[in-house]
Amino acid sequence: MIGESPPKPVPAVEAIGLTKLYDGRPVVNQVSFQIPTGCVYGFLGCNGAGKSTTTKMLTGMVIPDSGSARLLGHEVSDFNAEIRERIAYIAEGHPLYSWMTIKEAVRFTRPFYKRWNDRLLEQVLDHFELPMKRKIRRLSKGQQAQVSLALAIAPQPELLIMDDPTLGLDTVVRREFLESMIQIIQRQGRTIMFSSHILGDVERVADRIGIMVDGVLRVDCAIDEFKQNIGKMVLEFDRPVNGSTSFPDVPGVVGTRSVLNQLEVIVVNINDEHRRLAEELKPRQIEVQSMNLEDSFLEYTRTNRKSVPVFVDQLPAEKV
Amino acid sequence: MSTPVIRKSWPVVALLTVGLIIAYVFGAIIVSSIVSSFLPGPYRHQKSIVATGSGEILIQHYEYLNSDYEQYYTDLDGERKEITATDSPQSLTHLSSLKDDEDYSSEQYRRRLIFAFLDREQRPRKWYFIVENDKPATGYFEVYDPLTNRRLFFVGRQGRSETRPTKSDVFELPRISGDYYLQSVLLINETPYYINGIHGTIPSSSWGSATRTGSLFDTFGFLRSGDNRVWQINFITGEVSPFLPELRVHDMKQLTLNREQLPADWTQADRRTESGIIVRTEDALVWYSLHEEKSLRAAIPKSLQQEDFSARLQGDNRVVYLTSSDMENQQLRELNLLWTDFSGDTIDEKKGVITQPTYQQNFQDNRWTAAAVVPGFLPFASLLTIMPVDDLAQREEITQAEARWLIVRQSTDVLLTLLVIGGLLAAWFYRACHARSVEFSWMGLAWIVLMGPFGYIILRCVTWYRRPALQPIESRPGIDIISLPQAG
Amino acid sequence: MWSLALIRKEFWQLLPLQIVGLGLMMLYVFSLCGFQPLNLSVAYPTDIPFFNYTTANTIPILGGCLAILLGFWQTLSESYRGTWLFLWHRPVSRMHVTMVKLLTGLGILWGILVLPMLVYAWWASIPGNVPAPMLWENTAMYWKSCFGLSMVYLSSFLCGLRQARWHGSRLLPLIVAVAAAFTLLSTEYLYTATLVLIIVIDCLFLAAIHYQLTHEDFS
Repeated sequence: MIGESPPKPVPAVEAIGLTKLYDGRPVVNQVSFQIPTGCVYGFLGCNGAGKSTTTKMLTGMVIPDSGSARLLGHEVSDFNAEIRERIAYIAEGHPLYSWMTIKEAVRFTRPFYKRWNDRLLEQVLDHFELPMKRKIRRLSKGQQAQVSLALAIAPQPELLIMDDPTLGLDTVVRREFLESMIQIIQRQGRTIMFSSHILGDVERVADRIGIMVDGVLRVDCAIDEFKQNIGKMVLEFDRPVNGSTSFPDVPGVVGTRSVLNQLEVIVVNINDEHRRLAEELKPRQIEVQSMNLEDSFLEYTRTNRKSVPVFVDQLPAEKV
Repeated sequence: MSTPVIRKSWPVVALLTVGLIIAYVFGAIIVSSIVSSFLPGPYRHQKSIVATGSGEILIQHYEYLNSDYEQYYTDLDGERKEITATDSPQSLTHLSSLKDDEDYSSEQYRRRLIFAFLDREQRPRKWYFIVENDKPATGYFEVYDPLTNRRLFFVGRQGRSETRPTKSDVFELPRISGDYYLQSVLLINETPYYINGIHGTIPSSSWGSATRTGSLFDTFGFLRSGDNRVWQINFITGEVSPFLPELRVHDMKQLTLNREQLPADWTQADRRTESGIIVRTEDALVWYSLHEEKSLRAAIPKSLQQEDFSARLQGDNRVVYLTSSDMENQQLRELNLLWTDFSGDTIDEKKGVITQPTYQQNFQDNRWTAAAVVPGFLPFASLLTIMPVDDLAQREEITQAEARWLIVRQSTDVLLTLLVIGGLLAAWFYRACHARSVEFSWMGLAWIVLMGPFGYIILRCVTWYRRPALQPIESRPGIDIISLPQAG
Repeated sequence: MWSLALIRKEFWQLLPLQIVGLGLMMLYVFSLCGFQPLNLSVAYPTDIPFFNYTTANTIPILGGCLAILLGFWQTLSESYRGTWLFLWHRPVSRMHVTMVKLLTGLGILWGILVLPMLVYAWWASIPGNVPAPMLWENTAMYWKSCFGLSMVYLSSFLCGLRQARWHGSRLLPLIVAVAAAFTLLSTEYLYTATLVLIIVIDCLFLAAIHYQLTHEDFS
């Protein structure tokens, strides 16, 4: 009607307060986020951060202790066959029946789907040059990942959820896989969510990222926004600063680290207050460094913030 | 904040509880067996009446304590007797009366029983006696050639036939009761044989090949039918003819007599024993020699005509009877001996020759032990429904249903105690749920009341799923970077 | 059709067990028929058909072992490979997938136990093959044993599905099934009542399996 705002588009993925506890410990703690349709979402975190558990809750493999999830506008707990057919899920490690050949795996998977596209599958398999009659257990890890991707793509899903799809792949194979993945699956309207701890992969393909730290979603924003917001102030002193100089713990300070006579301060959204506090420490020099995604991620999620010790042979001669 | 719940499904809970009960009972039996093997066992002294080859009645003693045991014999006055190999003491022959026993086979036995034996032909043939435990039980024979595997003929009441006997042509048989059924129904061998097998039914003679030989009486065997008649089955021709048709037989056993038991003019110099069968009729014992075609007849005293007893034909036209009777104290039974002549007149009598514990099923004394093995109201009640009560029913002369109700009444104190224990556990469970804000259902509490510790363990430890309250997230002001995606 | 694909997959996946099971059955059947393969005398041709220890005890016990292995194989192999995640994500309800798996497993179990013995029963009923009466009524206990082994199969399937400690409660359902099998399959009496009880217990296991499918975490 005139004057009414258009209806909000339904996000492809919506998590609301997802929580899962194992042995009383929250491995996923009240995680909420949205992935809009057509977005490529990189889901990051260190090992044990809760990425895999979150992904499994989104696909219904794990029952959350609280919270809910929606995929393509439908509650995960209420999925029917029609909705599940529109969603592809590649679990961590690409679980397949290793005793099957590729041909048998295709023959097994095809009947489950009404929208199975044989031509698309052929194209994908040809692109990867996969031997149809070889048993899956005799394929390399990269080839198994390719088979997994082909089987996920053939039903022409609207949403792809992949749990660490490049796990165990070496650099070259990983790069090839990702490039192929984007080439094959990226098209208008198709949403991709994939978890990884390889930042280079994510930086190449993702629009938005989410970062899990100890079960909590600490970052959910566009990649560029994340890179812009994270900054490193390097304060250089005339003397070693192991533990003797510290930066005040004010809002925005993620952490600090002493390296010989430098004090590194990781800050989100460096502002005048942070600069003033730095100057109060009377460093010889203050430098603000920008970082790539990997460095930003590392600095943001680093838990060990101990200062690097000064070894004897590194001290000036007169100090010995 | 979400409420913790107990995550359970009743089928899973039921299966886990029953599984726990079975595992516990199994473990309890094993542990108690191991423990009792190390503990000193009770002293036991069993006695029984036997007769030597010369006819002397002795008491066989069997004393044992743990692994030590001693067997010896005394006379009826208690004087020890040394036994030589030729004495070969044996039990007296048990012969049942035709009492109106309760029909234990209230439900039809599924299979047709098959008893296998070989005849004594030069090329022995395989005989199979097939019994259908219907109401009434019936039986017939099938005979096979073991070389050609072909069936040769059938034998029914009318004798040999080429086709399976019809319902009117089969032998009507006495009711099946117990493993030793066949001994008093079909005699085919000099040595009594015992039917032992799965379910007490598959004869061990069917293992491998038939092992019993119809060597008795050379060419024939005897079958006692349900109308208390004895039939003579010819193992050569398959002919069937009535044996002693004037007799109405209550029980029948194979019995070999030695020379001392027979009239002096009977025995030939070269035979020390005489094989035959003994039948019990309403008022007499008749022993029939199958080689001499002679018989001995002894009248049963009126006082014993309705009783089960064991008997032995002594020489000089005497019979000794052994009976048992429960004393006023039902835990004890006394064995009594009666000597009569062949006309049934009493010669001598000795009551209470042996007094011994009955070792009968006495659930009442063991009910607390049983409760320790299944300490739950419903498991214990289930145990009461499957506990064998045949012995109690016989002893008390009541029906099986009445016997079962009796043990339930006798176990009322145990049932109430278990119910109280279940209630206490349920209350404890209720408190635990309340303290931890865990939801529970009244069905769960009822389950604990009924199943006792087993239900408690399963609901409290196995299917209890306590979802802890959500933990607050440590806020990191200015550090978390959360921005909602732009529309489109 | 997806169910056919799943049946085919289960069939091939269980092929090693089928070969072993069928091999053992054929060994017994051949022995009962008078042939001693590999010179192994596991049964005798003079045994009365369906009235001997082989059909009353030995084969049902072997069948029970096969049922346990089938149930565990169908579940633990998926857990070990992580393929539950692959299977559950297919656009079919979990219960449907499970029912197809169960029907395949039961079909294999009963096929191995029933078909060879049917052939043996037919062969034994031919005059001149066995020097003993072959009574079809006596086969009823054997068929009941085969039917009742479904309890053991379903229980091992449930145990494989349930994520619990092996030394804890995980095997309790199997204990129930084995105890029930020993009790119900060995009694000659109350034939109809025991059949009904077997069906009731099977339904209980199916309900428990359904619960586990919808409430278990598969990771």
